[in-house]
Amino acid sequence: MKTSSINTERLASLVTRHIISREESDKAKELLKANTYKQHTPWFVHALQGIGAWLSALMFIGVFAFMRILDDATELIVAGVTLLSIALINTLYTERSKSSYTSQLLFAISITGHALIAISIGVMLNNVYIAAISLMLISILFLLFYQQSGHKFLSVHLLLISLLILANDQKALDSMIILQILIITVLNCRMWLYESRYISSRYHTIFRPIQYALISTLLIGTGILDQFHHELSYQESKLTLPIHEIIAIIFFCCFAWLIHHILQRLEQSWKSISSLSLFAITLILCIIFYQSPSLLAALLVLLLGIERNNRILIPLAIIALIYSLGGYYYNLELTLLHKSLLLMASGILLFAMGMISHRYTQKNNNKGKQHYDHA
Amino acid sequence: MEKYRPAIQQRPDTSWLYLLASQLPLAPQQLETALQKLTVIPNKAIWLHWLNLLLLSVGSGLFLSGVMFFFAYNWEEMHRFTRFSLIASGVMITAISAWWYGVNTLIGKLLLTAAAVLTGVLLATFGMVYQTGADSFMLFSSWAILILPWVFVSRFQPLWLLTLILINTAVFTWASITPLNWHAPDQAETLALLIPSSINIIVLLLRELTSFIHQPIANARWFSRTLIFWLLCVLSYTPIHSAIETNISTVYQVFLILFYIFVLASLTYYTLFIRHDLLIFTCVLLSIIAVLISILTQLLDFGREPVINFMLMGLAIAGMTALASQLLLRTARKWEAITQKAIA
Repeated sequence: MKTSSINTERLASLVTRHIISREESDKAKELLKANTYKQHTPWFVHALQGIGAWLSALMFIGVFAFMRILDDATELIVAGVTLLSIALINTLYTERSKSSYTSQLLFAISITGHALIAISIGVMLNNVYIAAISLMLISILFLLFYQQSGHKFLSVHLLLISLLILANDQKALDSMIILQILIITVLNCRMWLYESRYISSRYHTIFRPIQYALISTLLIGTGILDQFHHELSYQESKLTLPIHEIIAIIFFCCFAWLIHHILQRLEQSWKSISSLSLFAITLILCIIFYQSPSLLAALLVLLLGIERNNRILIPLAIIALIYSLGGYYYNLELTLLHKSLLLMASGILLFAMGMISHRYTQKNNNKGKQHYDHA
Repeated sequence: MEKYRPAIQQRPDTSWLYLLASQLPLAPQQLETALQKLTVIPNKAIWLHWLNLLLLSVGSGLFLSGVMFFFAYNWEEMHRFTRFSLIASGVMITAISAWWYGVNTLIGKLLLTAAAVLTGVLLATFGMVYQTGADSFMLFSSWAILILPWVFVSRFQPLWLLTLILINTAVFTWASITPLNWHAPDQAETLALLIPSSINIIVLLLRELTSFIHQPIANARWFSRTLIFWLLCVLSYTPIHSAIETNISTVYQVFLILFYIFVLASLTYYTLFIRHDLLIFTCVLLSIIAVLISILTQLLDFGREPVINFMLMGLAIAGMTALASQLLLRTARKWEAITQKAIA
C-alpha cells in the first residue's frame, strides 16, 4: 500500500494546477498523516460491525422474550425507551473515551431498543401510524446525535420506512407509490451528482449515510414493486393511474438529467448526434423495460456509480441489474421459444452496439495519437 | 488490435480527497475540479470504456442465456442434427471470431467465453438427445476439460471463474453419486471438500504469484477475493457442522479441521505480511467468528437458562465483532505507518 506517497504526488499536482494553494496542501498533508485510517473506515468494517450488532440485538430480543416482558406492551415500551436512552446518553457523554467494545454493545442495545418500540406499538398495540411517528422521531434524534456511521445508515433507513408508512394511504395507493418513487429517485440524483456540495459542508457526516440509504431504499423499493407487479395488475380496477408508465417517465427524466449533467461536465454539446442518440437509447430502454422499475433503478444507480467512481455503487448496481434482468425475463408472459428469441435478439443488438462503440473509441484513440505524434 | 487494459483499475481512490474536503475549508467547486483533474471522476475515454464494457458484456450475457433457454426446451419438431449443427456452428463462429479479433482484445475474450458456454450447451443437448444416462458429473467435468485450452489462451478472469465453478460443481455432484458415498460417506464428503479446495488453492497461488510478476493484474483483486471467500465458506463448513453436532467422530473430520486451520493461518500470514489486503483479512476474521459462534451455541445450554445464555451470547457476539473491527483498523493504521516510514 503506497497511498501516502500517491496522495502526496496528487496534492503536488493539484498545487501546480492552481486548484489548491501551497498552504492548503501543507495542511492537507498534516491532516492525511494524522487521519488516514482514523476517519476513513472501510465499508466492510462497517458491514462487520453492523452484522455483529444485529446478531447481538437478536440475542437481546431473545432475552426479553424469555423474561416474559414481551407479553406486556407497556413494559416493553419502558424497556425500549430505557435501552435507547442508555445508547444515546452514552454516546453523547463518552464519545471520545469509549472503547470499541462499548461502542459495539451500544449499537446492539440501540437496535434492540428500536425493535422493542416497533414491536410494542406496531404489533401489540396494533397502531402502525403511532409506531412510525415514534420511530421517525427516534431516528431523527439518533441521526443528529449518534456518531457512528453504521447507525446513521440504519437511522436514515428507519426514517424513510416511517415516512413511507405514514404516506401510505390505501385510498390513493397508486399516487402514493408514484410520489415516493419520484422523491427517492430525484433525491438520489441530486445527492450523488452534486456530492461535492454536501461532502464539503458542515454536515458531511450525515450526508454519506443518507446517500447510501437512499440508494438501498431505491433498489429495495423498486424490487418490492416488481415483486408485487402481478398483484398490482390484478388490482388494476382499483388503480386509477398507470403506475408503471408514470414511473418509467420519472426514470427517463432522471436519466435525461444525468446524461445532460455528464455531457455538460465533459463539455459536449447535447445537440450533437451522439448525445441525441444517447437520449434516444435511454428513451427506448425506458419504453422496453417500463414494467420493471427495479431494472431502471439498477441502471440509474450504475450510471451514478460510474459518474462518481464509487466502488460500492458499481458492484451493487451490477448485482441488482442481473437480478432484475433475470426477473424481467422470467415474468414475461411469453412462451419459452419467444423468450429465448427475444433474449438472443436483444443480446445481439447490444453486442453489435458495443462493437460499433468499441470501433468508434479505437478510431478516436488513433486520431488522438496521430494528433499527439504530429504535435 | 489494441490490447485490452481496463482503465478503471488505474484510477485513484476518492476517499482521501473527501476526507480533505471535510477537514479543510475546500469549496465544492474546488473539490469537483480536483476530482476531475485527477480523473477520479471519469473523463470521456473512461466513460466510453465503461459503455463498451457494459454493452458487450450485457449483450453477450443476454445472447448466451437466450441460446441456453432455446435448447433447454426439448424441441421435438427440430431434428437432432439440426440442433447439433446449430450449436456447433455457434461454437465455431464465436471461436473463429475470437481468433479474428485477437484473444487479447475485450471482444475476443468475450467471444471465447461465449464459445466456452456454447460447448456446455452442446454437451447438454447431446446428453438430452441420446439419453446417454451420463451423470451431471460427466457433463460438468467434460465441459471443464474441453474448454481448458481456451481458458489458458484467453487469460480472462471471468472465464477462469467459470471453469472453477464447473470443476467445483463436478466434484460436488460426483460426491453425491459415487459408491463411496454409501460405503464411507465421511470419506466421500472429505474428498468433495478437499479436491475442489485444493484446486482452488493451486489456482489462487498461481494467480497471486503471477500478479507479483505481472503488475497490472495485481490491481484487479476481485478474482482472488472471490476465490478466498468461496474457499473459506467451503472449509468453514466442517468445523461449524462438527460444533453444532458436537461430534468429531472420524479421522476425516479431524483432517478437514486441521486443513481449515492451516488455510486460515496461511491466509492470515499472507495478508498480514506479504500482500496487505484488509478485505481478505476481514473474511478470515468473519470465518473465525462464525466457527466460534457455533461452538458457543453448543456450549451454552439455551434450554435450561435461556435468559442468561441469550444475554451471554449477545455480549459475546458484540465482543467478537468489536475485537475484529479494532484489529482491522489497527492493522490498517500499522500498514499506513510502515508506508510512511518507507517514504521517510
